[in-house]
Amino acid sequence: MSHILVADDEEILRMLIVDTLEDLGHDIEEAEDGGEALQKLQEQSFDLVVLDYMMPERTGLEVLQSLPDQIKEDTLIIMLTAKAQDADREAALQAGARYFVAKPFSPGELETLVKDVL
Amino acid sequence: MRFRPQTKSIRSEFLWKSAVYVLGIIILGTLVTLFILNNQQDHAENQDYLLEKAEAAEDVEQSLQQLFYHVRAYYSFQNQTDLQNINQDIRELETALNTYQDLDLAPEEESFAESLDTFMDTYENTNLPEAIAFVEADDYEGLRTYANQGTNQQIDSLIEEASDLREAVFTNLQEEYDTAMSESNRNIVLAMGLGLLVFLTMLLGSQRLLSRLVVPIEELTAASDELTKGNAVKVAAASRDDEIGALARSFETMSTTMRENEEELQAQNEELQAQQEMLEDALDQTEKEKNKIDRYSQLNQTMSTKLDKEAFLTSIFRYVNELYPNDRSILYLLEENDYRAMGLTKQGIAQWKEADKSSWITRLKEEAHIHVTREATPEEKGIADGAVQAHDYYTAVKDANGTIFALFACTRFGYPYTEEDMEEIESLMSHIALGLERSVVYEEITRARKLSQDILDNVNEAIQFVDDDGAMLQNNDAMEELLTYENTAEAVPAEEWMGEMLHRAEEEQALEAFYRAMLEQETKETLSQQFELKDGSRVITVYGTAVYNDDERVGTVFVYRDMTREHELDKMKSELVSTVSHELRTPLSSVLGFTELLLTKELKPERQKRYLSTIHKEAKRLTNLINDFLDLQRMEAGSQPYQMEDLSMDAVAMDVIYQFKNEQKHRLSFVDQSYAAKVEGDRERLYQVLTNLVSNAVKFSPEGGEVTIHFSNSGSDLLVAVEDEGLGIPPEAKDSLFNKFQRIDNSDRRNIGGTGLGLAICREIVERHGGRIWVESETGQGSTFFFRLPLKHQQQARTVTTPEGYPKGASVVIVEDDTSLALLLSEELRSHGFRVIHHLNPEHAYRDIVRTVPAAVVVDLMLGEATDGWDLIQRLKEEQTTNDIPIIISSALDRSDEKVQKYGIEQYLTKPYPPQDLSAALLKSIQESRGTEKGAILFPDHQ
Repeated sequence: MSHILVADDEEILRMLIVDTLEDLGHDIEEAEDGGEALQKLQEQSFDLVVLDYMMPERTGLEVLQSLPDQIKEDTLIIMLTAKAQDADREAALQAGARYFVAKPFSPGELETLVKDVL
Repeated sequence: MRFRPQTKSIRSEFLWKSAVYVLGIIILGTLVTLFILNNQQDHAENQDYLLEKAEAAEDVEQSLQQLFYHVRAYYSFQNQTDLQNINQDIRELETALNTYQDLDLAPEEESFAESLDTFMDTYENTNLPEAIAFVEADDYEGLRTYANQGTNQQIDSLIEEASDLREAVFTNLQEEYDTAMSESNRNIVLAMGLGLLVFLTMLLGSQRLLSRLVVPIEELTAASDELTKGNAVKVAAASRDDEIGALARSFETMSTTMRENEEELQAQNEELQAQQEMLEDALDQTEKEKNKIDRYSQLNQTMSTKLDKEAFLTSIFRYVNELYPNDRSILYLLEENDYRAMGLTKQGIAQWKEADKSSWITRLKEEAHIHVTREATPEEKGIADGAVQAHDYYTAVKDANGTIFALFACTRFGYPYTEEDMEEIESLMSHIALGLERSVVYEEITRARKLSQDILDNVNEAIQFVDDDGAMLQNNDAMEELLTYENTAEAVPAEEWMGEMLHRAEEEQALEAFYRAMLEQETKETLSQQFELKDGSRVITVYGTAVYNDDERVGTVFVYRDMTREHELDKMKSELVSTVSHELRTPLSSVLGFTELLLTKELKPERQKRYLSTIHKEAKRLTNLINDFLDLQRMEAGSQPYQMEDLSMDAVAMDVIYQFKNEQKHRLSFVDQSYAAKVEGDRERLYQVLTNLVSNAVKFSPEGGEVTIHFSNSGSDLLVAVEDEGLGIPPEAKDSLFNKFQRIDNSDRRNIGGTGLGLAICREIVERHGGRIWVESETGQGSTFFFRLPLKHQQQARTVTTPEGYPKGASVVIVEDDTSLALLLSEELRSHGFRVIHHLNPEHAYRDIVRTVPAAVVVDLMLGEATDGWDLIQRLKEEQTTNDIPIIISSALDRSDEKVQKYGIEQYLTKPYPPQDLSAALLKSIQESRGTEKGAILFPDHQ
């Protein structure tokens, strides 16, 4: 059982991700925006983070850029992005993101990815 | 001046005479002086001698007297001392006598001296010893006798004689003095006479000298006066041999020379005069020539510079007439029927214009000119006497092909045209032909240039043409506007315009590189560069094209296209695409995700239901989004049809309120304070606006609270406000709130949802109706969205007065779901100055009534709610603050005798009834309730 943070401002999408990952038997923490995500990442240690790119307060990218390197090394970061643009991906990769899942995403795909990486 | 040497010199004569004269005076003076001195010497010597002799005589006399004094004393007193004195006296007498005798004596004096000498000898040797002897003998008698014998007498006579002599000497001395005095006087006279002589002589000499000098000088003065008068002069003194003569001769020579010179000068003068006259003639001629040349050169100047045809014709015609004076002339352009005339009457010109000129043209094709000499007509002759010849001269102006296109005709009266004149005029005509041709070409060029400039200026794009060096040679108005340049005829150097452009461009380096590339590289391609102005006002694309003329590059054309709108549209489009894709992706993700979960997983029924309802909600959201988006696109594209009609906005507001009547958390009311609410608009669209605003107000006040639609009038507009007590809007978000997809993203609002297009749609609709929409808000204090719409008729604000006794703005609450009735009541009440508050929910109405305590309440008994009209009435009657408020029951389908009894209701009406009856009853009730019947409940009468 892994400790996972799900950060997305859309409640419904968050529910979808949480349900999917809970079914895998993981312990899930939720964050409603970038600020909350950053706060939780600094307070707790997570095995995996599902981070939405477009969020109020702080974007996913900004959250990553504000995180200490140590945390980024210890945590697997999956970025959810609706903007499947290379430049955004490049910046996210630079900032420490490992995997990308494009919206609209398939819960099955996410499930497979999480299973694979953990 | 030459002097003739003079043989007699005045100077030497003067010197010589002066010398003789001075010498004479010296000699004469010396002689006189010597004579006077000598005379004076003689007298002095004489006087000295006489004085000496007188003194000697006196000595003798005194010695003699002393002797005898002592003798007598001795005789008397026989004193030895006296005797000694006697002896001493004798010695003294002897000395005196000797002194006297040594002097040059007169004969009587000689004799006296001798007698005295004799006596003395006797006396000393004889008489005295005898006497002494007597004395010694004391024989006085004898002595006396002896003495008286004669000695004494002798002595006395001697004394007497001596005295006489002395007297005589003094007399001589006196005489001598007198003589000396008289001679001295004579000497003075002599000296004076000499002085006078000298003075007279000098006077004479001076007079002579003057007469010798002054006279000739006067003569010369007179002569020079004569000379001045121009007369010949002869000076008498010229014959003299002295200096004056020399002067006079010189003067004569001089005057002669002068006269000669003068004559010579006069002669020369006359010659000069003659030469001057000749020169003046020549000068006159030259002046004339010069004027002619000047005019020729002006003519040439005109022909080379006056490119305007009209001006050219006018000035060349003037010059021709100035150069070859004509009495009449006309230059006539055949094709244009244009002319320049001089000395011709209107009739003359008309006659000429109408005349058939073909014969002239035919002749002038063959001949260079036609010259006619004829008798002048009386009119042409004017005041001249006798016969006058008129000279007509015709010539043609031919173009390069020899075609005649203008005629020149001129006339002189009594002054023929010389061959030279005619030749020159002809040659001038060929100049005129050239000039005219050129001005025609110039006009065409100018027209063409103006046309192309006009075309350029009417192009929206800024256009400039620069030469090889980059200097701007031509540009259009748009270019000037872009560069903010004043229009100058001169070329603008590259660094100037380019500098200005680069200075203003945001992408300075890229633009500079573009200019360089265009100006320096050989290319036939059109290149372009986009740049934005630093002030952000414009985005411009500049296109550069090299311009070639016969394969030779002559410059570059730059065209600046204002791409601001395109740029903004592009930006908006891409933003919109990204936003829309984001907005669409989220619900799509949900739908897809949950569907996938439903399909792939074994799920409990409640979870399945949750997922399905979520899918449904998201699908609906997606639909709304797409609908809103399409709506807005249609509206913005202008393809959304508007059904404009006369619309009562209060009815619309009532409908909106009705739509939200089931809303429990929020108290919705419609407060109408407008006197007019009729606008021209699309009912559905404006309903959409109000619904949007109310639904936003509900959505963004999650805690509930009042939501009020408020109507009022402002100028000729209806002002609608939708007020809530919700979250409020941060100030920075206000401006962009009405833009597409502008949701205020913060945690409070996150779950409120919405498409982000509602307010953009509202703005679009309101603006289409000629209105304006805005918001006033304070974070946490709620927001008020305003929009104003122009009223259909420019209704004047009515002066409405609240019934007597009611405060201004007193309100009436209407709880009625029959909107038409509610509106009718509202209209009536507002016309009486009441503020009308509409409620649909009895519960909300009750709270509002308790809070505001209105002037009256209108209630519909059939509200179809949990709390019906009766409940509301009952609660109001139970409440202390509200039981006095008159209540009017607007409709009573359910007539209940029990209730009638309970509340003391006298009568009521059932629908349908004329609404105005209700209004009248309402007003009556309100007014009556001021008096006794407080808190009456009124049923409208059904009869």
